[in-house]
Amino acid sequence: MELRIIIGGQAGQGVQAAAQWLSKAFVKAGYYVFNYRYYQSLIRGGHNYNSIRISDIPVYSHAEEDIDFIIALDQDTVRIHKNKLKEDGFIIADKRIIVDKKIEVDTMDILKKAGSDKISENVVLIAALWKILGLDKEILKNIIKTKKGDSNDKIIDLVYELNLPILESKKIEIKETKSKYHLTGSEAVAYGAIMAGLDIYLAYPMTPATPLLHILASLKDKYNILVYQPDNEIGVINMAIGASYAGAKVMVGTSGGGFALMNEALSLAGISEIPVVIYVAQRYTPATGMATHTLQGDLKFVLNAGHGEFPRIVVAPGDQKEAVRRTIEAFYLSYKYNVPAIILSDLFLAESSCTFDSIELQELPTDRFLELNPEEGYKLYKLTEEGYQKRAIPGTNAIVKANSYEHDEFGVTTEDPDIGKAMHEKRWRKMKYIEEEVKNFEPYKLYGNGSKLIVSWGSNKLPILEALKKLDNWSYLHVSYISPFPKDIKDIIENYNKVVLVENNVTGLFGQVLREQTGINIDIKILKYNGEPFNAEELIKKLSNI
Amino acid sequence: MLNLRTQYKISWCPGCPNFGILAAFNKAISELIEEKKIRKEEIVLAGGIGCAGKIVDYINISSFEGLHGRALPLGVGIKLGNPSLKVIVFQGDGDTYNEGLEHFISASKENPDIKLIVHDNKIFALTTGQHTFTTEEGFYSKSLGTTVFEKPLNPIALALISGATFVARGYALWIDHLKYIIKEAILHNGFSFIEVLQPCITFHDLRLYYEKRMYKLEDVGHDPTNFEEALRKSLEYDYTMKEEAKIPVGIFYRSERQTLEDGLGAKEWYKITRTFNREVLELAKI
Repeated sequence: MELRIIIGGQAGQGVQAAAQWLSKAFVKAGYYVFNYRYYQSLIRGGHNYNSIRISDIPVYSHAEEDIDFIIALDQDTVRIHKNKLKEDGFIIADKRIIVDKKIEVDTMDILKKAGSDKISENVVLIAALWKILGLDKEILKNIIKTKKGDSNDKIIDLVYELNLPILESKKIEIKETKSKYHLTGSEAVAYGAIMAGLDIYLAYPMTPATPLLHILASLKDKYNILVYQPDNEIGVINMAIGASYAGAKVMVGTSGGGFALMNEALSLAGISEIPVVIYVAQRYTPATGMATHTLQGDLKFVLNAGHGEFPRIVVAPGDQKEAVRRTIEAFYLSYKYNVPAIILSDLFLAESSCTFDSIELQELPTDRFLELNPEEGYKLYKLTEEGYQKRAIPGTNAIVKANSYEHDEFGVTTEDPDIGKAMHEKRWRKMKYIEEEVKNFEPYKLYGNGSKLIVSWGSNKLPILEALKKLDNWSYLHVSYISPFPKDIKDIIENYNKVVLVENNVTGLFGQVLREQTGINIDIKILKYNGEPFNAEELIKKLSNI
Repeated sequence: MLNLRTQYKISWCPGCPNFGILAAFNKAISELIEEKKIRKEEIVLAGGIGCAGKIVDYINISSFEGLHGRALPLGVGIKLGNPSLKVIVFQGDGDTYNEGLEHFISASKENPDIKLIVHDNKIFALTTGQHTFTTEEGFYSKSLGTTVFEKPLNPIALALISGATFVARGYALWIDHLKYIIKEAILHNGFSFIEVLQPCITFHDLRLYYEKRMYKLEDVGHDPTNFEEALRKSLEYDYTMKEEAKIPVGIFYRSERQTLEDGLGAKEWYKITRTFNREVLELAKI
């Protein structure tokens, strides 16, 4: 069973809210849902839509064709999407929308009777769909419970009194199943961070990292965390490093442009060995790019950001479920080894929501890795064999001197060449231990057992896994850790005669990193860089010709 | 007096007025510790980059020497990371009024309970003599290839209109007076800003000019609780080199309002034990 729905309208008409309600309602009814959000960088007007795919098996990608229902909040939605409609598909819309194959609802009449204003037109239309599918209205009512009181309930009741056709061919059964998880990539990072022991989240608003800021701000009291929006991204990261030095577990969040402003302080985190977790949600770049469109153009940027050489963690979750565990791992590695850790996501992953039966997690210590009873003469930069130690913090009986200049073991500025050499080597000694540890974190995963191999990273995992269901004889190697790089994937890739690189960028950045790290060059590339994510159907078409 | 010096060699020029700031600061801290108003362990210093920031290496107290212009947000972060700490930030005029001006306005407006001491020598000294935002007209700047023609910034007035709750000016070589200001600044609950006139005796020696024209605000009965009066006093010296200038030093303004860390609910986070809380995922459960 599969059902494909597009909801479209202008910004401000509640497209996203309607899509979220509908997605959750379908999950409640026992189904798996993938909800993709397309939107524009404006407050009112323009065209936004969500593409929702519902299935009785897990589903990881949206669809842009064979759509069963289009819910049109404006005429533009019809114009832009009507060709995507299936032969037996329908458009659900108010009487003012002019189109064939319409199931018409007099939305203004319903809203008037319910005493609601125009903003609730989205509720009228999704309730109509819910009725057409023969579903229980109570499920929808429970999902839509908002602060507005019961006016939404009234709308739903009134819609159910209408004489709408119940489409037998599209009728959906309610399935008695266990509860499921349904979340966006932004929610996944928020929940992962809280699980990992987040104390402070600092960010300056920037699409598509802003949802994380809003989610954490809404949860700050419940989970005893501090959320603050400082003067700019430079203020953000310098404050974060200060707070971490003082003993807090800190994360910052931004997109490419904001991360560019953070670069000098990333280098500061590197030399001062003060941990910080940095969430980078990529969007279409360079510069301001297309703010609400996706791209994976910052891979080599985050890998090489900050002047100088210092160890760092770069981990790129592939789906919402993976984003939870990768966030937890990023905190653990950053705070145990005193290195900056970057969680590299993108707009597609951050804004899309997906359903999972379970979220398995390896329980990692939520430790702050602090030395709270330091001995006399404590040295923050002691030249230990491992290159790291538990940090002491100010306020205890230790004198804790951190420094952006090269420094001696005590933390005081030095220009001594021997100390400089020893400190460089100390910092890099850690990487060996980090590499060993990351091997236990499933830094890559091979899916399928076909004889041809797709290699990719980040959110491409979603449409690739969806495509893999229908592809003949293909396997997929998903790489999650970019630093430290799992060099042993070389052995896997070399087993395949036909290897294809799939990336959402212009020049195949992961391919370049792979070549640098392993010497392997993947010639066949499927690259997309128009600001839109891959969907399974287009991947199937492209891969079937290879 | 307590010995607060580290054993590291000081790399300021011989006779640099920064020694005066170091002496005044160590005296102030020493007295506050002896008066039991502060504990040495709870003090944290943050330093910028330039001659000013070097001071943290010479004081045997926890410190973080950050990036040029960014010691101030670093200090705000330390306070948010543990509000029981007493955070004192040392920056130069280049740090504060050039590279990191937004943080100066932000700290004045947001009122974190941290202390900012600016060593204002009206020059980039460590990079051997370029003009900063407080350099006056007529100064020959190596980076301009001519004399400065713009008007200097007035940091006292800027701090006041930006909302700073403690605004003062001191002189690096009036050590006891500066010590008094530093003590008052540390005891103030909120953002304290001390602009220290610190002549660079190598590149921009203004000792004689300052010393002929300075007077103490407390000697003229200035009321630091009166904002309009503080603003009027701040405009008395405009950082140019007018012959007839009068330069007030002392506390221009002090007032109380909610601090940033209180507003945000900052805590001694390191004391909180957090467990691996799987329940968070219930939020995603349907």
